[in-house]
Amino acid sequence: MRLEELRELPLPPTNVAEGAWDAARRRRRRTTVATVAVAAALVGSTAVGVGIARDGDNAPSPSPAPAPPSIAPTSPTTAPTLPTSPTSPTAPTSPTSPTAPTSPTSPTINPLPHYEALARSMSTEAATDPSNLSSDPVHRGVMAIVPTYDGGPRPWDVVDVLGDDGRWRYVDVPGLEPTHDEVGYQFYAIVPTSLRWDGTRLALPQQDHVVVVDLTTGDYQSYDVPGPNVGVVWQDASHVLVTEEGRPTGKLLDLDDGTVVLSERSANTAFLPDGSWLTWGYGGTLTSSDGTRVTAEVANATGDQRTSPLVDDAVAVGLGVIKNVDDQGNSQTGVAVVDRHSGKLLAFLPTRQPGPDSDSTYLLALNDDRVTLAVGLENGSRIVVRWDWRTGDVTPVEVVEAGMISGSPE
Amino acid sequence: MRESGRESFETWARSRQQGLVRSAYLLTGDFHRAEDLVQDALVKAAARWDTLVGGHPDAWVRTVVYRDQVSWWRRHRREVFTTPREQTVPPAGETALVLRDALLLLTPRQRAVLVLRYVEDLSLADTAHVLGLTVGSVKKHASVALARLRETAPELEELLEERS
Repeated sequence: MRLEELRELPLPPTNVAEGAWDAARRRRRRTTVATVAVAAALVGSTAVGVGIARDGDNAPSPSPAPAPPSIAPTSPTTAPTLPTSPTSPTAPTSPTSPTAPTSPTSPTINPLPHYEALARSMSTEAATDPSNLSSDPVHRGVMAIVPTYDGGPRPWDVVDVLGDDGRWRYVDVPGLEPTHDEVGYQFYAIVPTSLRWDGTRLALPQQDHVVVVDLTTGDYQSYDVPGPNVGVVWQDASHVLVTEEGRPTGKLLDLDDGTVVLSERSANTAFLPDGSWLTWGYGGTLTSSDGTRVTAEVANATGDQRTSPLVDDAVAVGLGVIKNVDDQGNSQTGVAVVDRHSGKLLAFLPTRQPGPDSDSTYLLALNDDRVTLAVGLENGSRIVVRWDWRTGDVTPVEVVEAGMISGSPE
Repeated sequence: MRESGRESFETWARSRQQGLVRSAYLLTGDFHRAEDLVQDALVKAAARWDTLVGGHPDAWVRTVVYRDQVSWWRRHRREVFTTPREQTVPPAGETALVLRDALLLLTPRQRAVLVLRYVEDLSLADTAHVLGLTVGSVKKHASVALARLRETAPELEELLEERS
């Protein structure tokens, strides 16, 4: 016999077709009932933010969404909040004008929060029992993660999405794989900037191609983009900046026609809805699309960092490093807020003990003065915290069993 | 989901169920798991029969089966890696069973490529589409899979000719 003759492999008769029609009808009725229940829950609920704060025509819809039922309360009145203990005096801030830039004489330097202790006070969010995205798409994705499993290997290429209905979906795109660079390091299938700002698309950097998933249908499109691609940044609704490890600039992918052209932008670039951009480059130089260049008063933490800066009209938020913070010459890594027009350091939140190790903090969102970030924990999970850089308050939001996060549970 | 579509769906589903379960069985090596996979895919197909009936329901449901199998494997692969494979000794002369067990020694993706190409008789392009791979990747997986089969089941060597 030949392989083809496996078509005649004898098997017991099956009758799986029986009842499929009726099962589909029952499933449809359950879905209808659930939809009605979600619609009722929408009344009076709060909106769930996602991604980088953007405004203008491309801003995420402000329509209310139900609070995910499995996520711990994030109300500032109930969640533990660290005391504000800046080590340097802070200029008074105006709570009535939270988005106005300030010019403090000294930056607000937060003490290092005890992230592990904060995490112990929180419930843990895990991508439990996800359904397949292709058969159960979302209205809007709130957060995408690469999950971690206790005691097991990290599945670098498994991606789960939290929908705005509070349920998890598994991104069942076949063929996803982690990208490997020339020396064998592998990279997650998503990056913090994979989820588009409106939560409807997810871009996945892959070896020699980029996959873009429509989260509202479960359909996906694969685009040929040669190279060991490790990063993606949404420039606008139909263009994605694709970056490779170790290359200072990227490639611009047009999702409408699949063309790829070289770009002068790097992964350290944030794009704004009006088409402008800002790059927080090597050595801390802030370059804007209007041609201005200023030097930030803080060094870039990781060079070509895999977490792009967060930018609004007034400030840029990036991973930064303050050097020689102790007599061993160690550096302090953390999140830095700088005036994007002058480079002046406004605030700094340490994310780990001073030392030589690299930092794997991810920047998730900037909403007015509040920065949402994910900090790695000892057990491989991540704690998502909200930092008000003007007041210094750090509020834990969620512990997520994830190696990589895009979007925000807030 | 109009009730008027029930008859055409059930006629189509009954005519396809045995072949679908056979392919799913070759993918999974587990008859009950294969039936579950196909049954779930048929329920999904029934739910959208209004749009599928005028198109290509066979291709659609096949893709669902393969995707769901990939999903299941990805979620459970840790257990798959740590659970010793049950050694089944087929009765002498049952070459198909030898071949089936040899298939189970392949990676899920290699197995899927061979089943789609040789059992489902799909073209390289169609196989690539179902699995979300490039045609080049399909060729590579097929070549490696056949080489591994020849190595693990040398008694089948004359059966394993590569297709272009």
